[in-house]
Amino acid sequence: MIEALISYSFLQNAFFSAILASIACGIIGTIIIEKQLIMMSGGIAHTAFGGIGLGYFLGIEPLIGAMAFAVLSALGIRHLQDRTRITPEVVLGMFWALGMALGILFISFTPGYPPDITSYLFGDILTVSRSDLIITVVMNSIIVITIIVFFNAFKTYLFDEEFAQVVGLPVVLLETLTYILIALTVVVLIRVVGIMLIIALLTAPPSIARQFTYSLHHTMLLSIALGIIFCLGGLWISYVMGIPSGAAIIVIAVASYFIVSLLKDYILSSHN
Amino acid sequence: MNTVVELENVSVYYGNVQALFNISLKITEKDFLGIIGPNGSGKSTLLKLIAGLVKPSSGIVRVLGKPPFHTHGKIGYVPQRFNLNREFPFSVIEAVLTGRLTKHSLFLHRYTEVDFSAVEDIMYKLEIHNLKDRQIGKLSGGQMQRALIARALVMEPEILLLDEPTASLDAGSKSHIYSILKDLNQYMTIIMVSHDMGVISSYVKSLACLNVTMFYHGAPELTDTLLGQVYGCPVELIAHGVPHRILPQHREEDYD
Repeated sequence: MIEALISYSFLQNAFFSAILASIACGIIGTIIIEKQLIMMSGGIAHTAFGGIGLGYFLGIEPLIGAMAFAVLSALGIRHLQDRTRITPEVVLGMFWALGMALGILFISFTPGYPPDITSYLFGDILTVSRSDLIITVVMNSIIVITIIVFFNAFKTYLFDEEFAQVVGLPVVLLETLTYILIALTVVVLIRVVGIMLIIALLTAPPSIARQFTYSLHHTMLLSIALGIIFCLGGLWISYVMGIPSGAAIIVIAVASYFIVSLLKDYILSSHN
Repeated sequence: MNTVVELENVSVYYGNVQALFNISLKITEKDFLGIIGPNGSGKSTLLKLIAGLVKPSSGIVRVLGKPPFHTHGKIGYVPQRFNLNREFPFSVIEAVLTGRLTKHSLFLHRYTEVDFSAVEDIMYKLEIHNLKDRQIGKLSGGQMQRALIARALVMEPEILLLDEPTASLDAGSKSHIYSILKDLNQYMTIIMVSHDMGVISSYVKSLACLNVTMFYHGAPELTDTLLGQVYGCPVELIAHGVPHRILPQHREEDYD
C-alpha cells in the first residue's frame, strides 16, 4: 500500500482528501452535535445534489454547483424557519427532497450519455481529482480559519445563545457562519463518503470523542484524529478488497462508535 | 432613587399568542423585585425584554435610559438552568469565563489574567471554586445555579436578572441562593422570576404579580385575594421562614 501510495497519484489524492475531510468533519461535526443540527446537516447535504445536477447541466464543475446549492439552501432553510410559521422539520424535509429531485431533473435534461452519479451519492475517494483536491483545500482553509479566529465567541454561542447575545456578541453573524461552514463541510465530504453517507462521518467521530474529554477544542482535535483513522482505514480496506470506499469508511466509523460506547459502559459498570 | 428600568404600555406577541399585554413598570436602583405568576404568564418574557432578548411588539422599554439592545455588559442574565445543554464539553471555569466576553471579543480573543482573577474571585465567593475543572453537567442543581450566577456577575453588571433561580432546588440550596442574592442587592438591582411565593416575599423589597397583564406591583405583601386573581384559583400560601405573618383562611367560593 505504501509503495502504491508513492507511485499512484490517485492514491495520493485519496490520502490527502481523507485527511482534509477529517479536519472539516472533526470541527463541524462537533458543532452540529452540540447545536443539534444533525438533521439540518443531512438536509443541506441532500439539497446539494441539486447543485451537482445543475453543474452537469451547465457544464461547470459539479462541486461548485453543489457548494452554491448547499450554501443557499442552508441560508434559505434558516430564513424560512425564522420568518414563517411552518414547522422547522417540514421546511427541512421539503428542501431535502426538492434538492434531490432537482438534481435528477437537471441530469435528465443534460444532453448525451448520463453521468455516473453514484460516486456523488456514495462517495468514491479513489476517484478524487486534482481539481477536487484544490476545492477541498480552499473549503478546509475557510473552515479552520473561521473557527480559530472566532473560537471563544463560537464556544459561548454554542453553549448558550441567549447569554452570548446578552454580553453583546453578534449572534446572528455567528449563526449564519455556522450554517455556511456546515454547507462547505458538506462539499468537502461529498467526494469522500457521498451525500447519502455524510451524516455518519459527521457524527461518529465527535460522538466518540466527547465521551473522553470535556473541552471543546479537545473534542474537535480528537474527532479529527478519529476521522483520519476511519477514512484511511476505509481507504485501505477499499483498495485491498476492491469494495466501495465510502461505505467502508462509514461501516468502520459507526462500528467504532458502538464498540467504544458499549466497552465504555461495560468498563464503567464493572468498576462500580 | 433613579429609575433603572422603565416599561411603558409594553405588549409582546409571539405570532398570535399574547405573552404580555400593556405592561407599565418602573424599577428603581437597588430594588430587589420578585416577579410571580402562573406558567405562561409572561414572566420569562418580561425578563427577556429587559435583557434585550425579545423586542416589544408595541410600547417602549428603557433600561438605564437606553433601549435594551444598547446596554450590553450592564445587564447580567441568569437563564433557567434547564434550558442549557448539560452535555456540552465545558468545564465550570470555562463557562463562567464567557461572562467576561464583550461585543469586542470577536476576533482572536484570549482571556487575560484580569479575566481569570475576576472569575476565580467570584467562584470563591459563591463556593464553587473547588469545582472549577468539573464538566458543567456534573454539577448539582444548586452548584449549577451558582455557576450561572457567577457567569453573570463577572460581567460586573448593574442589574441582575434571574429566571427561576431556585426551581427544583432543595431547601438548603434555596436559602444559600437567596442569601447570596441578598448580599448582592447591596450593590446592584435584582429582578427575579420565581415560583416560591411564600419565600420570595421575605427576601424581596418589592413584588410584581403577572399574568399577561400586571396585577400588582408594590410592597411584598401577598394576600390570597390577590393571588386568587392572578392565578385564577385559590392558592395556598406557605409562608415558611416568615413567622410574623399569619395568612387568613380562604374559601373556594370566593373566586367564582
